Amino acid sequence: MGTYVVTGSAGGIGAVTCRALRAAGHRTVGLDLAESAQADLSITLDLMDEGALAQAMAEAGPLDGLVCIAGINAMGRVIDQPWEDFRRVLRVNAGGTMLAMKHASPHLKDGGAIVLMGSVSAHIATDGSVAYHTSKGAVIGLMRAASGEFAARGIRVNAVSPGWVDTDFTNRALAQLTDGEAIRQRANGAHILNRMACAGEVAEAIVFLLSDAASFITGEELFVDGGFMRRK
Amino acid sequence: MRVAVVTGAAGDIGAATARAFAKAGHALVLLDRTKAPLNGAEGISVAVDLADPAAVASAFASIAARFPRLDVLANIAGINHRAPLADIRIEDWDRMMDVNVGGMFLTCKHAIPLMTGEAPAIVNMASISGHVATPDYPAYVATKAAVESFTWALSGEVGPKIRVNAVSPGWVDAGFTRAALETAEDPAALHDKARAAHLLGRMARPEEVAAAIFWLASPKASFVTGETLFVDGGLMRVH
Repeated sequence: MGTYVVTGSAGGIGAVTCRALRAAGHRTVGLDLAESAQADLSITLDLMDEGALAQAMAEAGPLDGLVCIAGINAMGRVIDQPWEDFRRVLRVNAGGTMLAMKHASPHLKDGGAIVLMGSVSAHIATDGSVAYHTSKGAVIGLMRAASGEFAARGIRVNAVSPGWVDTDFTNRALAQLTDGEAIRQRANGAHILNRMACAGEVAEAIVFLLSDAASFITGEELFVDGGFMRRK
Repeated sequence: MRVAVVTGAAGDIGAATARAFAKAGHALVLLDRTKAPLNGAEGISVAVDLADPAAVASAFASIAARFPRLDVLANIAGINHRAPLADIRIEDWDRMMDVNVGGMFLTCKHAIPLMTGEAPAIVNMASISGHVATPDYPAYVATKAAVESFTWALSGEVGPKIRVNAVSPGWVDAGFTRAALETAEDPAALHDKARAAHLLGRMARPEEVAAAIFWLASPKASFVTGETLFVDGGLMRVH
């Protein structure tokens, strides 16, 4: 049916999103540093490499949609995070998303759709992840800005903002902490649904926003957070 | 077979929502002031004033007799009243609150004990009106903001068992909107302005709002609760 580029397609949410899109009958092109086992076509690249990105989009297109999931994390506080760490997180999470849209644009069909990966981290903050919080705020701003820019072509731009998602990304972050297991328990309880999301639940929201069922939804941030934002 | 209750089912958005659930194999319970047509779908249609607590209780007694388990409650019923604050009468204000907010409170109160199945969900009709300064509609704006707050509060109260979300449309090309436009001094000009207010340059079709309600109520949205989904063609993002 359609062709969709997915960045971060080797990671937990990315891989499951490729699977969900393929299950809906679509062709997926995965862009990641590592091989994307779940994509129909896997292209390994660094999102900061504009030449490689432009070439990959041309190889993938024409496109019905783009899903920007690629993201990284580096722990650190304002007062002690090395500038290079902070900059690397912003470059990948916000800059990589920006560049993916920029180079997908010539190949995106009118009436297509883009979904970016936001996070509840754009709205609340836990100490020690200053770069991640900043980058996700930037992604939401980028989504709103791009939604206006692409509207003339009938291309909708939205974001999905999960709470905690049970993926390797989350597990790696928790493993870095001495009290990781206690934080996991608290994280479960931070959602009204008393658990983290599984990647497939985030993927379903992405598939919905890409689909015709969401034909009047643009510039919107869809929280897939199990009620995280409502629980205090 | 999943059972979906749709209020305001005689209106355009309610009818489109009922069609979406029927198409996906749900039995329907349609509520409105007049009996909404089932159009061949399985289920029942009940005429009820949602602002009347006794009438709502009696409606749900007959619903429970036919369907002891309800899976979806789509609270779409709502009314509008154009009047600036200086002119609005307390009777009109009360009626708006009783229908738009009280009606939802009553249907939730009666439906929730029956929502005992696998993946029950409630979706409430809010509006971008709850977020923007719409002149001449202070009562409507207040009711729609109340709907969202009610939605969020209820999501905490009945979670994790039942998911509760709201949909906030912009302008919808529906009878409700056309009736409101007719009261404007220059309906054609307001119509053009309303279309242009959306990034997508048009109003929503009732089916587009229904599709969002259907998705939020479906098991595909299993991790979405306490959320307001804007189906507004980018209206909130424009300034």
